[in-house]
Amino acid sequence: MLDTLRMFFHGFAVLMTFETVIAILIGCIMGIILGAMPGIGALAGISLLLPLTYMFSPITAIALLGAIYYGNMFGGAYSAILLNIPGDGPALMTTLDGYPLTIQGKSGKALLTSNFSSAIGGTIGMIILVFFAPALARLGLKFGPAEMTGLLLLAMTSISWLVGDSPIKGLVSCLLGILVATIGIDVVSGDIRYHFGNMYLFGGIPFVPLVIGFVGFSTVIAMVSETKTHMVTGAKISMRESMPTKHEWKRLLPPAIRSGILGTFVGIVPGCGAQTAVFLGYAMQKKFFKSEVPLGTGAIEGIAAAESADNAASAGSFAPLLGFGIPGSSVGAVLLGGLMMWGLNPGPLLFSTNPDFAWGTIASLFIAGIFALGCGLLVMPWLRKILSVPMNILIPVVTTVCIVGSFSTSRSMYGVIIMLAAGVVGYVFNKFEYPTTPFMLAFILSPMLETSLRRSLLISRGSLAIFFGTPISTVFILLFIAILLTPIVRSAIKKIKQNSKTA
Amino acid sequence: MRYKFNSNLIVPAASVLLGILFAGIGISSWGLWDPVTGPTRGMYPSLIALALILVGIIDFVKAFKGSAPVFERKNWLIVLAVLAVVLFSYLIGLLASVGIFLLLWLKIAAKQSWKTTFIVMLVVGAIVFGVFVFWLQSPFEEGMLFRLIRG
Repeated sequence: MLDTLRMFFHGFAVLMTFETVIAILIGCIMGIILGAMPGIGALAGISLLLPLTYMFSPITAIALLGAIYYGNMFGGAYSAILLNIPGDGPALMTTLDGYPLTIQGKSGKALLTSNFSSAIGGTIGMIILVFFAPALARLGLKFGPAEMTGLLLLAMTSISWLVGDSPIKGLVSCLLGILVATIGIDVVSGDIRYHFGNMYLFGGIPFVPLVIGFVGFSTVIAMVSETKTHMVTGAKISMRESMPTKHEWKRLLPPAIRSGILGTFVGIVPGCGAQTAVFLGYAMQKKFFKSEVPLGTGAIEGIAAAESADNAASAGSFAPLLGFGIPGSSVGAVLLGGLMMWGLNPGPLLFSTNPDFAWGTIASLFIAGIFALGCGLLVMPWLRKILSVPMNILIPVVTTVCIVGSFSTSRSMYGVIIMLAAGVVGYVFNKFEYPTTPFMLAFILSPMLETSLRRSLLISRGSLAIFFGTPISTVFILLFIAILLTPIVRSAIKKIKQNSKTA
Repeated sequence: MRYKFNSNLIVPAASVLLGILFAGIGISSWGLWDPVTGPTRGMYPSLIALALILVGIIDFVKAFKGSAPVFERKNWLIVLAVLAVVLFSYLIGLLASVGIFLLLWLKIAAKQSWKTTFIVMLVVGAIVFGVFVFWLQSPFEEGMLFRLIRG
């Protein structure tokens, strides 16, 4: 415990350079602005800003990405409160109470409740993260290739099956992501495969242009048919009048703390993510606790529960990311891909082989939390202008960033072509309601899964019994099979029920 | 249930075809198992591709149900614009192509005033040159014309 705390404070010492502190500050501001803009959101925001990290050291780069992520979560709530449009998925529950407060002329109150609750939830999440991430890493050190295979299969399928209404679509997306990742160099033998005679494919599909296109440019394509300019209604936001009173602090603190704890543990489970945490946090407040006004009519308890759970889950999702190398969400998947660009492999060995980086990352989240709160308060007076940027101006601006960013990371037009193709595929996926998260997660985790799977089979000389050789791997594989079978069983039960009704 | 073609079939059909392509190449070129070295480079992608074929077929059958989404023509305009930027960048360079795209989009598609167009182009130009050209030092595509002029 003392050693953990010592290393945690060492993480702060690692970060204390002018470059890193400025990067965190810029990341928070950019994150808040991009998160607040309707239609862009955290994932697209981080993807668009990935090229900026190329000139930094790995610690500064991940601190910047973490700050963008953190800022995005603060910003995501702003458009939810002021425009009734969630900036990202988890902010959906914030609209339920945030927008009614805006209609009542209390938008400032809602925004500050959101800011403070986010900070409380995030801090709770990070405190738990400090102790959980190294513990998970210690557990991960006991994993052999069979256990890692089971864990990776579990991580990939849990996201696929949870996202969207159709599990089959999630699985298609996941399998396509794996196949695209196999193009280029074979991670085990170093041989080249699936290049189709194209020399650019020798090196595989570059990660950054793929993500920029799949998430960022696909968003732009969709934005073209949505050129409505959003206008913020209500009176000008006054910081002094909006500050929570003592009574309001008493209302917001308990749900924020409860949701913070719940959200962190939900975030730690790979595949659950912030959206599940927010839903559970809000539902917990609604079912088990009293609120001064009913939830859904402008209760600050509702905003506190949702926003705290969102930030806590996001901090919690760093535990499996750093400890096992498995992202808990789509944004985590992009962050993992970002880390891999610098040759860093998050996982059980990270805390022992690269403690500066592991603890620096955790410490950077704390600093980002404080900066995001400060920046959130500072940005508030300009929110109306930020939210009112016309879509038809955003479209060419974001497209330019997509083109130039893709080129700069690949240093060739190949990156731009990949971005364009990925954008079209991402747009088609969204149109036909195929979840994009499993694709990205599978693309990033695929090399690790292939390595573990092939190593396991090599050790066992092709016998599948190796996956049932230890209790941990047996549990993982059984869970994987259960997740795989759940939709089939569910649909069979549904059919039996329907048949018995008609009979 | 009536089996009628609709656009919902595009993704499952493409998935099955891609699965057949990857499994075909993987199994025929490298096989699945080598008696000496164990799993080949074709094993993992082939297994995944076979799973994709299976899931793709289920998805294909399911795709006949439900209404297909409507694609608006104007959404593809931005795709065509970026494609044009890619093609023109080989002729006049990437930055010039992006500049022309910005100008034309803001003036024609977005119908913005000259003042707004000028301000947006100035801000975007400052970001592109400041961050990507000077800071990240990206060697942007110069284009044939520029290389010809330079000699």
